[in-house]
Amino acid sequence: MTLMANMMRAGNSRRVSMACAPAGAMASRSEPLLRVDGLCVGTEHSDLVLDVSFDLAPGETLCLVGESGCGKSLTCLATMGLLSAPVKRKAGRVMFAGEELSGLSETALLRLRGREVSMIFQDATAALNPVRRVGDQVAEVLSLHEGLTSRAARDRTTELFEMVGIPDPRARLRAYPHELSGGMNQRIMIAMALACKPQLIIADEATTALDVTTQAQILKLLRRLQAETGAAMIFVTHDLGVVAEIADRVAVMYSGRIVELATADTLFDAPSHPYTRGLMACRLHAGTHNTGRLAAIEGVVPNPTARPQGCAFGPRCPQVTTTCVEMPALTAREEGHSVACHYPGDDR
Amino acid sequence: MKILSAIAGVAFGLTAVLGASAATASDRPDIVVAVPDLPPTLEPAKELSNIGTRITYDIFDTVIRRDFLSAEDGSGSQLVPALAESWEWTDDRTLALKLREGVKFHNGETMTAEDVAFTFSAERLSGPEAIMANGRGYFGNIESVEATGPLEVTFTLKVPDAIFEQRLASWTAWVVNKSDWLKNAGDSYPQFPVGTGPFMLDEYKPDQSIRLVAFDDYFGGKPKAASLTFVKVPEEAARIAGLVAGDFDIVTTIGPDQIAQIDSYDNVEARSVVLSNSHVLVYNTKNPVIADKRIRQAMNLAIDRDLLVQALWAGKTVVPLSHQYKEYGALFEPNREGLTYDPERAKELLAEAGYNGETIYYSTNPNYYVNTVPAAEAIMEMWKAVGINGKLNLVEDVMGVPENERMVRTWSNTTRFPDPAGGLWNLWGPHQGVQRKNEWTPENFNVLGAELDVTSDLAERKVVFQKMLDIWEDEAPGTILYQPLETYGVRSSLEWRPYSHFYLDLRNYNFEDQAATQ
Amino acid sequence: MTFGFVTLKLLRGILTLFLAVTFVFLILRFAGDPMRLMLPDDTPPDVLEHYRHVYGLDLPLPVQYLRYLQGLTQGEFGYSFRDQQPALDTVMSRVPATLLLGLVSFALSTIFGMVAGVIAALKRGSTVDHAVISFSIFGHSMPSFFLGILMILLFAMTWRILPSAGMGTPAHLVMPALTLAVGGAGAIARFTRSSMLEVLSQPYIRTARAKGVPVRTRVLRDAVPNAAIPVITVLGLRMGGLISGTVVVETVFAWPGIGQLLVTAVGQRDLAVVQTIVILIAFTMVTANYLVDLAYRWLDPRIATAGKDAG
Ligand SMILES: Nc1ncnc2c1ncn2[C@@H]1O[C@H](COP(=O)(O)OP(=O)(O)O)[C@@H](O)[C@H]1O
Ligand code: SF4
Ligand SMILES: [Mg+2]
Repeated sequence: MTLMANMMRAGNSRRVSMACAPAGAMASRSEPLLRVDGLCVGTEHSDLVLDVSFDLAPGETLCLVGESGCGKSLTCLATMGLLSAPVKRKAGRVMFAGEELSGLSETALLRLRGREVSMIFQDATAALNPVRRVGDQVAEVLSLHEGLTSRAARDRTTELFEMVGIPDPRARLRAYPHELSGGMNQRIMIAMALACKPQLIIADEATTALDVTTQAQILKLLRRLQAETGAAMIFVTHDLGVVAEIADRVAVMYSGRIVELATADTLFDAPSHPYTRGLMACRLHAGTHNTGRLAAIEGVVPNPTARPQGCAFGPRCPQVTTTCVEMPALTAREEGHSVACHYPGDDR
Repeated sequence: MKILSAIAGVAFGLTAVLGASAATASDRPDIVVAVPDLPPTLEPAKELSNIGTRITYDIFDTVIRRDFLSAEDGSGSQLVPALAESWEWTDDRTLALKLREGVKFHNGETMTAEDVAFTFSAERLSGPEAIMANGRGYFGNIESVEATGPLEVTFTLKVPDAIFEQRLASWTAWVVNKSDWLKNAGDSYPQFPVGTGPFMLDEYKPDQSIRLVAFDDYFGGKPKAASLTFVKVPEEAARIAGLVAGDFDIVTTIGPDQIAQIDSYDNVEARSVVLSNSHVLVYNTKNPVIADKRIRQAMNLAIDRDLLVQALWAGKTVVPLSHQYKEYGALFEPNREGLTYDPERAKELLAEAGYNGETIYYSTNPNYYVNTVPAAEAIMEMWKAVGINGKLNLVEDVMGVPENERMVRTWSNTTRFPDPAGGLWNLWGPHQGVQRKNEWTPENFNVLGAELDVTSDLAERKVVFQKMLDIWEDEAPGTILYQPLETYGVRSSLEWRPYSHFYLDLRNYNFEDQAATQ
Repeated sequence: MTFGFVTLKLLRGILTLFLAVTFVFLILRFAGDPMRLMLPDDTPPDVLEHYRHVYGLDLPLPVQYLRYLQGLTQGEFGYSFRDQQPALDTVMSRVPATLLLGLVSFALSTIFGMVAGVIAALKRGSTVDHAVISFSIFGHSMPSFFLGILMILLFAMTWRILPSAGMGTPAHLVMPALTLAVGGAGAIARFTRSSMLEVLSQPYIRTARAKGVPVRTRVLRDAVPNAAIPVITVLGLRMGGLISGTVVVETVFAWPGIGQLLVTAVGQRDLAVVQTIVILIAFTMVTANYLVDLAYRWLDPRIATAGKDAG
């Protein structure tokens, strides 16, 4: 590890600007379905997501991991064009299937959302309208995007309910969200997201609120449906167990930035960023599921308005040196594996 | 069900209104009067308030009429023939009336002596069990009333009554149609009896409007207005606005502070009249704090009435010369000193009486009389200036205050017929409030009053009355503050004068619409 | 909507009515002698006594009270001192006028208030929003008496486009209904706005946007039904005050409804009429309360289930 890290340090000349790094990293792959390029998100007074770039191929699953507050949800929302004031996209582009989403009007985006790109939210019960029947809420997507009659939409919804494993689907159409369990509501959200067979699914902590058994069922379901429809997926979680199960590639975020981007195998075999390694260590500690905080790494994520100079992880990093007051760039360590650390893979 | 049918009623009413076309043009004007309130009945012996009489006066006539216009200020008291052509005393207890011939009631019937006799009959008005219970206060002295001919009515009195003719021209004396009255009386009295007056009832909308139309067979001539509608508009500002906007021709009950405002508009003007009414204070002479008459005299001497008139009534109202009014005619003594303001004398009297700053409670209902609170506050200051420790009690019911605080209360005295028998003697005598409530029990005053009742010689009556005034002033069971002003807003082109009573008389001798006759 | 719920509501309603009746009965008896106010100043005492006897006012208070209650149970509301008519008839004859005025202004204030509140919330911080907030404060702080007079001065006196007072044509309805609606619309707009702001930040609104639902549909189908739930309470209060709320406006505009009758009747201590009106007002409030419950159940399925579970 140390060797490698040194090699990387020696290869400083290969350091590239963040804006173009991912393009380079993915050059060998087929034309990506989604390309996020230099995305910056924030309010007038703060930067909440900084210079985030990644690609996603059709059918591929990218996991976004990191502690709470590191900018995963904002990255997802920015991708969907769903940011709302005072938070806005300050720089960067989002390309989807050759089209620049970040340049489209809200009206044009509305035609895409729910049809080409769908999103599944964390707390499904809160994400469903409490005063409308769940069947209607799902059928609405179908009549909206596919122009189905209410009758046809209802039949399709029943099929979808069946597909996501809702027992007695016809009766459930008339249920209200508060009458169903959290797991059941998440299945409904999934049915809603998949209704129009989108090319991209963004699942923001879709399983975090669920108990372990249900979580496993939902994951299985998502994997199956993804296989059936061939959709790509961004899956946000801070549970590495989930990552291991579902991810093709992983982007680790810390304080608004991607600090390590690699295939799932590489990441688990050779985690290179001290933060990633901290996450891995945490995984070995029992009971840190679902908390979103890392007991093994002391300290907390810095406030976005008061980040330390240089590497934001500095104050918590076991390997921190004086060099770290300079911002480490996200640098390709090898093909498909980039790290933002002055001492990647160094286990001094 | 009721509510449903009521809603249906509204809907129907609205369509009816929308569908109705404008009233047909007529050379006679339709007069609209805005008033603060409307009476629940037009039985003239029932609604004796200003609310009722200003309307019933145009529907009914009396046998003898008091000509208010016989005095410049609208308080004239000359008696003239009305339904009766002439009358004659056969002895001092018997009066025979000769009625006018061919007078028509609104229902088409011709008036006879029977109708008049019934109007004043024991069963309807004058007996102890009379249905119109208010009548006894005015006509309890009638022993019998009979139709002694088709057009002759004879009254027999229990005791001689020098002012019986004035009574016949006064309240509760309006003549009704006997057959109609009895037919519609139900358990008590008819809500809308038939009369002989210049206007007859056309439409009654409770709490909304009362529309009268011209009665063209009126014995006094065809009325000069086609209709006379009284509209309820409780808010003074709304009445004035409606007058200025041309919605109303006359508006009543305008405060003195609005006179200048009304006069500032073209086409409309304020017309005021000093009422045959006085705002008074009653002192409870039985309360130990003010039992000494010198204290009560001091309370009276300390009040600067002219200042009240200037400050509260824009100088437009008057202070009478004691409890006597010009309309009393021969009984009025113009050389009385009247109600004087003498703070120095007041201080002396207080010292003599040994007044020691005991609290003197002054109770009034803030909403009953116009300007009652500002007046009370001013009087508190005036009393304080001579050393009287007055305390204002704003209450709903001035008789409801604790016994020991019953000292001064506000009241008003309306002179219902132009004679002390309808004023001082009636109001401060043994049959009315003050003495009934045991606030003042003057023996010599009562003896003189009894004498007044049976004295018909004017010179003698005057002597008796003036002695009564002396007693009233000396014993000071209260005092008069001033005679309030009643102000109307009127379209300038209307020739019409208000009276010192609330009657709103639109008979031909008091009405001409210059705008309509042009 | 279980049997238990209905019974409970009914009992509570009856209790409210009973308390209102008792309270007003006592207040009125202690407020002074109605006969002295009804009859002229110089009415002879025996005449006063006669009328007191006729109306049973000479009986001991508890007897009067029991008699009155007994009458009520038989639909007997007593007789007006003023015109000897049954008090219920007198009061009911004024119901249509008040209902017309009350419902029109209720509808106006509800529609205008909710639309303004929704728009203000959608355009938060904009000029429109500030205008709605200002209007709301204006409507809240402007006494209806003053506003009414102001309208009369403008519309009837200066411009002469509307009749100054009374009832009859639809034109007569304009000023009183507007005067009455302004305060209500202000309150409803304020409530709708804050409720709407709360709802707009809810996750399910974001879900709708993520589904591709256009903004109009999102507002009408997702936001408004949720935002309306808390607003129902305000609407209920306004509906409960439908009759009592018209008192001032009816007086200013000479509108011949219950409010004006109440002023007159209180002024004259017309006991039976005042009592009947108070019962009617209490009844309206109880009914409005019940309607609010129904509306809640209709708008918010969560409550219906809670009721089902509990009952
Ligand atoms: N509307 C907002 N206004 C201001 N700050 C926000 C807003 N939404 C999120 N943030 C901040 O942005 C950061 C990233 O948030 P988020 O993307 O939700 O984190 P994650 O999903 O990784 O837990 C956090 O510090 C959060 O406090
Ligand atoms: S740059 Fe320095 S502080 Fe940041 S993670 Fe690497 S070693 Fe730690
Ligand atoms: Mg998140």
